[in-house]
Amino acid sequence: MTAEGLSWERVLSAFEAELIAVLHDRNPAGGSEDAATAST
Amino acid sequence: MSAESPCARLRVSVITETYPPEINGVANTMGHLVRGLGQRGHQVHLVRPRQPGETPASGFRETLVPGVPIPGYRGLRVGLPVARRLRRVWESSWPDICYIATQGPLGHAALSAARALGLPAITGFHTQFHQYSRHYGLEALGQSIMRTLRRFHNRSEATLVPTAQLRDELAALGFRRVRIVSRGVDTDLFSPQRRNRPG
Repeated sequence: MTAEGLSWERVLSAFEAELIAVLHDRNPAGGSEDAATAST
Repeated sequence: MSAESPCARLRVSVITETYPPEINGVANTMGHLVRGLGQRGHQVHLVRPRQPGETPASGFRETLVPGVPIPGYRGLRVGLPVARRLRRVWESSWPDICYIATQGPLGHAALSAARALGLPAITGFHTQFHQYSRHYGLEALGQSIMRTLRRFHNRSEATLVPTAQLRDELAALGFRRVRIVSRGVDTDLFSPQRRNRPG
């Protein structure tokens, strides 16, 4: 595996993607931008 | 280090019973995740037990809660269940999502508070307490611990685990919505350039 494959950058991207996926599941029509601001 | 994220900026409340400078795998992972989220432009709110003699210096908005030492595990404290306080904190500053990294009293309180407010919450399965019980001579408690963990995690929107093996193991035990987010390595510190050369 390459250094990129082990890096925390890759972990953070995957973590971010899970956060967005959960928000999207809760608010499928909104998309990630709306999900991030839906509670304001 | 981290570039700003191309996706939406989120307000993420991270709840963990352990955090650097404590030294253990969960603290290390949480240090990387919290710093990385901040560097990517997300607003991080950290909820954790106050550590003895510390001066707050994480650089993030923090809610520090009282903690109690864990018998037989020096240097680690679990946070007290402060669900009502967390509800007040989140009502006054609403996060988009909560990440609950630990399954201790603080983690349980946080999940209850998030659910009561209708906040989405993801949990992390960082520590295999049910397996540790075997090694500490508490095998009889293993099943009961597993039931408690399963109930806890199945109340969250997703459970994040580091490996496919653990995902499959937990799925077979009745855990739902288990997803993989693996762990990283500090590739600046652990680099082939730093290897010892025979000399």
